[in-house]
Amino acid sequence: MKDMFRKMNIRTGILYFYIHFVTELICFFALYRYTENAPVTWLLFFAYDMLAFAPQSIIGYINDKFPKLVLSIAGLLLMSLSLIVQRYTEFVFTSLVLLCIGNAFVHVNGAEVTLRSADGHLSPSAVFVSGGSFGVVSGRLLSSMDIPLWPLILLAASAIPFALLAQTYVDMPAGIDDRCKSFRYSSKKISRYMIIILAVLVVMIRGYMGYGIPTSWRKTTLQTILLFVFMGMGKALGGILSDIIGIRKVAFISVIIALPLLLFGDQNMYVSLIGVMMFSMTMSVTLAILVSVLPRTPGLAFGFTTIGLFLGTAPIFFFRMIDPRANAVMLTVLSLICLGCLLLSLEKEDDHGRTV
Amino acid sequence: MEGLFDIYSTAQLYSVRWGLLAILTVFAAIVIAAIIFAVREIKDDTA
Repeated sequence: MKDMFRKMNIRTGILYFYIHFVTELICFFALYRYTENAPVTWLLFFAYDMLAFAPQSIIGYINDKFPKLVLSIAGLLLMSLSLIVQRYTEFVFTSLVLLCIGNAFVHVNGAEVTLRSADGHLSPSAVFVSGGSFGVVSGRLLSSMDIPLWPLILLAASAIPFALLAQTYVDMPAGIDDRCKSFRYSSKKISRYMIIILAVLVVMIRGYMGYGIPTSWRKTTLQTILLFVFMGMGKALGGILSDIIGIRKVAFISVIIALPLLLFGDQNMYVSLIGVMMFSMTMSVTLAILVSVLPRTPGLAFGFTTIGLFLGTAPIFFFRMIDPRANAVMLTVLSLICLGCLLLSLEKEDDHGRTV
Repeated sequence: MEGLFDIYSTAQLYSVRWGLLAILTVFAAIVIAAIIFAVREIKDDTA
């Protein structure tokens, strides 16, 4: 077991798990503070989603070209500055922009480091991404409490040594462009452009479905915490299982087995949580496909997933499916489209679950 | 969608619409740039 995790080079994933946790905690703490008395709450969330998600493609491309830049440190400083601006001035939009750009910097650098040090494994990036779910729920809960500024800034500062340490695991001197060549999960039968479109479509569907999952059982704070914990566990498990049993099997499990659990788990928390966990496993699969298509620019590949996530979550601000039966039909159809796209984009595997 | 905008006064509605337009314009510019970068990368990698 120890050897297996060493082989996966999961260290950078664990370091960035903490950094990502801190990032999302600060972001969601600040975001819920903005919306306390705002008349246009949804527009602030919409602006946050766009400003934090979409620029990751451009910032990712810049980090691809200059991989020695530890953008996470700049990101953590920008987020701290945003908290100060939010607390002591009236400039809401300035604070929001600083927060979003800081968030994007950390995400991009996390993806860059965990993918470049992974040697074709998905576990490091999956563990890194999973930290966000824990941060989101912690930030939301803390935002309702009267917390002074300094513990949050101290928390941001505590992540800086982790970012510096993670950077040392990325071997820089030679062959930077080849560091992600070990990601060979995408199909060779269809064009790379088509694979990018299919993978982004899957992320969009996943983003949209995330809000459509029926969770009538969620009534208490503890249940909300559990939902986010299982979401985070699912994201990490998706990458770890892909490395062990193979990415196609994970793609199948995360869509087909998750669907009935999500649909019939509306009133049953335990069934629903397992469904949410399995559903969250798709994240690693789409990231792996995109990095396989853009191996020289993992930051840009990660940025495409965040563009898809914004496109998928944007309709939620304007349209909602209210009828539960129509919602169930929609979830089923979207899941099948998702599975079709994934199977089309993925390369076939050998008996050991590795792509051939 | 109508209900979403009904709650605003005329002045608020004006800023909401301009806010939305600004957000979507920036987003479109970013997506176009990302596509250009991806096409360039794929061409370079294939060459």
